[in-house]
Parts: sequence; structure tokens; C-alpha cells
Amino acid sequence: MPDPREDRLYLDQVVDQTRSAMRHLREAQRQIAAVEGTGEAAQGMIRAVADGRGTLTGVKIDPRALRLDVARLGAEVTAAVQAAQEEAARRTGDIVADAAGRAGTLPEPLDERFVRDRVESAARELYTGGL
Amino acid sequence: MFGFDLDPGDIRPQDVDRADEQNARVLELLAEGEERLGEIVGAGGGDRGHVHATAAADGRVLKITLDARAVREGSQALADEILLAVRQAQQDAQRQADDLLRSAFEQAFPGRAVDPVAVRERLVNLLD
Repeated sequence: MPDPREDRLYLDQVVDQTRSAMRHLREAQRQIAAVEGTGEAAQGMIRAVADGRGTLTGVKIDPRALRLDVARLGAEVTAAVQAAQEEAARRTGDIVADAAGRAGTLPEPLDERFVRDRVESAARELYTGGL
Repeated sequence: MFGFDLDPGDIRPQDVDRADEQNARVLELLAEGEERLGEIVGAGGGDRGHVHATAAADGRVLKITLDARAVREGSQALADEILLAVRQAQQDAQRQADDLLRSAFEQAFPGRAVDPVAVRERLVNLLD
């Protein structure tokens, strides 16, 4: 028969585990917001920075790079930007994988048997004790 | 949330069938939607039109091209133009993705209006 004290302990544990999981996920969110990926091209004359969501936050071009022909310049800029986004995505992926690992120990959902036993036990108490 | 109008105390066989049908339709639409999402190309042209950028729905830059006049105003102006063109391309891709999402929802749940921007914001704030 279910023991209310054990149930209480179990509930406390569920609350703790959930709180802990939420804490890890919020922390991951904070870290992702701070992610920065950098990319370079044209021997460092072009640099790009992207954040964890892939938004381009900065582009720096050395004036010497403007000597390149326009088609080549475009290709180099593309490469720098893509490299920045790729690095940001990689860092974000690492944070997510880490968080998923830590938050993974969420409590098992209550099954039908668990609930039925307690409902039956409560019903019995009502009939025998209450009236 | 999805307009089932179910009475939990009286679930009829036709309710279950309807739920099954909607479920199958949603899965179909999700698969189709994912493919179409991957094909989206957003475009941005900066404010002087010398830089052209394209981006995918997930924000990844596909290509940046410059025309001959792009380099006339110096490297700082060019950098600013590139940032702007990329942002515009990403926003355009996002708008197309939202349209796709909205139309997929309308097909799966006819008669229910969904605001993809609101859904996205709620998802992002879920942990707050």
C-alpha cells in the first residue's frame, strides 16, 4: 500500500530534479546568448563575427582587401561570414549537448499503476475514516 | 489549444478518428514543410544596392556578391553595407518561413488563426 511519507519524499525529489533541470537549461540559454563565432578570409584581411543565433554582429575589412577584384572579394567575404556562423553554431551545439546531458535526468512521468494505487487507497480512507 | 472541442467525459469514436486524421495530416505537413523550409532563400540588397546577400531559413548566409561600385566608399562603408544586406536577407528568409508555418497550420487546423511570430516568441521565452 502506498506510504504517504514515501510519496512526499518522492515528490520533493521530483521538484528538486525539475528545478535543477530548469536551472541547467536557463544557464544554457544564457551561454548561448553570449556565444561568439569568428571567421576570417583573405589572409585575415576580412573578419566576421556571428552570435549564437547566426546573426552577423560585426564585419571588419582591411582597406588593402579592396584591391582584390570584386568577384574574389565577394567570395572571400562570403567565406568569412560563413566561417563565423559555423563556429557560432558549433559552440552553440556544444552548449546544447552539454545542457541536454545535465538536464537529462528528469523524473519519469507517473504511470497508470502509481496513480491507480493512490486513488484506491484514498477512496478506501474516505469510506472507512471520514464519515 | 487546437480547437478540438472535446468533452473529456464523453469521447466518442468519431472524436478519436478525427484526432487520428488530424495527427496524420500534421505529420505529413511537417515532413513537407521541412523540405520546403530548406528551400527558402531570403535576399537582401543593403541600402545602396551594391551588396547582394542571400540567406537560408535557419539564418545561414548562402552567398554575398558585390558589384564594382561596392568598393568606392571605402572598407568601413562596405562592411556596414554587408552587415545590412545580410540582416535583410535573414529577415526575408524568416518572413518566408513564418508564411510557410502559418499556411501549414491553417491547413492542419482550418479556421484557427495562428501568429507564427507569437508562437516563436513564446517558444523562446518558455524557460523564463
